[in-house]
Amino acid sequence: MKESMDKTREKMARMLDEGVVSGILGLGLRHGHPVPCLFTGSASLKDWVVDETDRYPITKILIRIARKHPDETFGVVARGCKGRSLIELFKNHQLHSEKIKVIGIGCSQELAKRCRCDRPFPSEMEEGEPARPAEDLSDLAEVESLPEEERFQYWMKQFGKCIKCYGCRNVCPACFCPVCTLEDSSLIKPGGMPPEIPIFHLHKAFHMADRCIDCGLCEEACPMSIPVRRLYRRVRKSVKDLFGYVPGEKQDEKGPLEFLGDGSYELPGTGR
Amino acid sequence: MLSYETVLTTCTYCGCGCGLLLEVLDGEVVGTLPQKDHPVSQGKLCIKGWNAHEFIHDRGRLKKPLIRKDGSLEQASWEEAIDLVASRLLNIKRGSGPDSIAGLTSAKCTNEENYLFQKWMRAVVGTNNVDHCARL
Amino acid sequence: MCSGRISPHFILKAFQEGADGVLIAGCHIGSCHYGKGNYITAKRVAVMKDLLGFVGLSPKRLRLEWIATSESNKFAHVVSDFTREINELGPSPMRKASSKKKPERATEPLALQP
Repeated sequence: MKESMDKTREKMARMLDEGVVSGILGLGLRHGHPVPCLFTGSASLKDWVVDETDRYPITKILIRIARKHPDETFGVVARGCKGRSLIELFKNHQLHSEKIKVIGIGCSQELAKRCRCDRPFPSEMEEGEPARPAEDLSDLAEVESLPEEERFQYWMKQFGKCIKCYGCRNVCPACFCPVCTLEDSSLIKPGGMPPEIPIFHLHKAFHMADRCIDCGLCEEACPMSIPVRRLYRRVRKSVKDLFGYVPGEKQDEKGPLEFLGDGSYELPGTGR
Repeated sequence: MLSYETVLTTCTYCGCGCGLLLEVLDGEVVGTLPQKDHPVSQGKLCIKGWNAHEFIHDRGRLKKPLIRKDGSLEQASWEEAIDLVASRLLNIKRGSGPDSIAGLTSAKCTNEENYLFQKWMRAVVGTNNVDHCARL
Repeated sequence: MCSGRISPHFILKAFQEGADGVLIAGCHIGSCHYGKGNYITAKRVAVMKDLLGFVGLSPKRLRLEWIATSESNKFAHVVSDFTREINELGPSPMRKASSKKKPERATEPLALQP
C-alpha cells in the first residue's frame, strides 16, 4: 500500500490501549516476511504491515482464536473479501459479531484487478479511497464457449492433476464444517490419487454455491493450479441469477440453500 | 495468557523444503499455514505439509527412555538406556562383525544430527550400512 | 422419505458410480408429507443442473418431477420419457472416464510465478 496507514495504526493503538479489544489480528513483519499475528499491545503495532502480495485466511485463523477465548473481543484488519467472509461467518454462527471489531482497509486498483474483485473495499474504510470494482467473468465465458464434450474433457484433465492436499478446503474462509464432506468415505472413496473425479471438486463446489465470497485463496493454494475458483464463481453466479442472493453482503440474509423457503421458487419444467 | 504467533519454518518431510508457518496459540502448536512468499512453495503445500504440525503434541511421542523388561516397556534413565544400547551393539559387533549393524535415520533430524549419525556409524561402529527415510 | 432428504452429494455420487441419469420424484409443492421438504429440493436441483452443465454433463441427465403417490400413470409416463431421453443422450461421459485405468494427466508445464 502506498499510503502510510498512520491513521489506522493510531486507531488500532487506541483500541488496544483502551481495552476495547484484547488483540488485533493482522499481518506483521517477522524476519522480513509479512505473516499473520495477533497484536496484543500497542507497542507491537510497529511491526504491523499491509501487504498486497501475500494474502492469508485471517478470518479463518480468528475462528480458532475466538473459540478458545470466547469472552474476549478481538479486532481484525479486513479487506473487502475478509469483510465479506466475516459476514458469512457471523451468519453461520462461527464468530459473534459483538465480539469482533472490524478495521477496514481498502485494496489498490492493481490488487482489485489481480483478484478480479467485484467489491475491493470493506463496508467501512478507515482511510484512503475505495478502488473501483474489477469484476471479470471472462474465465467463465471461456469454459462455456467450449462444446459439452470438450468441456468435460477439459475439467477431467484439470481435476486429474489433483494431489488431494485439501489446500482449497483448508484456506477457504467459508469452509468451517467440523466433519468435512470431502473426508467422508461413503461419499468419496478414500485412498485414490487423484481422488474420485469430478465429484471430489463438485462436492465442494456445491457447498460454495451460497457461501463462496470469491476471495481467490483457493486457487492460490492449489499446488497443481487447478482453476477451482472458476467452478465456485459459476455456482455463485447461478445462485445470484436464480435467487438474487450474493454471499457476504447482508448479515441478516441467509443463503437460499440454508433454509427450506416458502415454495415460491419453481424449477422450470416441473409442472404442478 | 492470550498469544497467537505464526512461526516461519520449513517442512520436515520431503526434500522440496516448502516454507510453512506453524500457528502457535497460547504456547501450543495448533495448525499450519503455507508461507505465501516462499520462493519454492509460493504459498502451496501438499497434504503432509498441511498436517506437519500434528506430530508435535501427539500423545504417542516418546518423552522418556523406555526399556523392555519382561515383555513390557518401562521407564528408565538415560544412563541405563545408553549403557544397554552400547553394550548390546558392542556384543553384536564382536560376535557378528560391524556389517551386521545398520543405521536408519530420519528427515525429522537436523542435517547436523544426521551428519553425526553417519559419522558414528562409519567411524565408531565401522560399517557403511547407513540410510535415511527419504530413500524409502 | 422426502425429496428434501436427497442431498446434492447423493446425486453426484450416483453420477460418479456410473448412472446415466438421475430422476428425483417428490410430492407436489404444497402437498409435501413433511410440510416443506420439497421447497429446498427445487432450489438444490436448479443449482446442481447449472453446475453439471458447466462441467460438461448435460443438465438433462438430472430431472426433478412432482408426482403424487396416487399418480401412477404420470409416474409411468415420466419414467418412460426420461428413459427415452437418456437413451438419446447416450452413456454418461463419467462412465467412459471411470472405465479408463488412469485419467489423462495434464502434461503442459506449470507456469511458475516470478
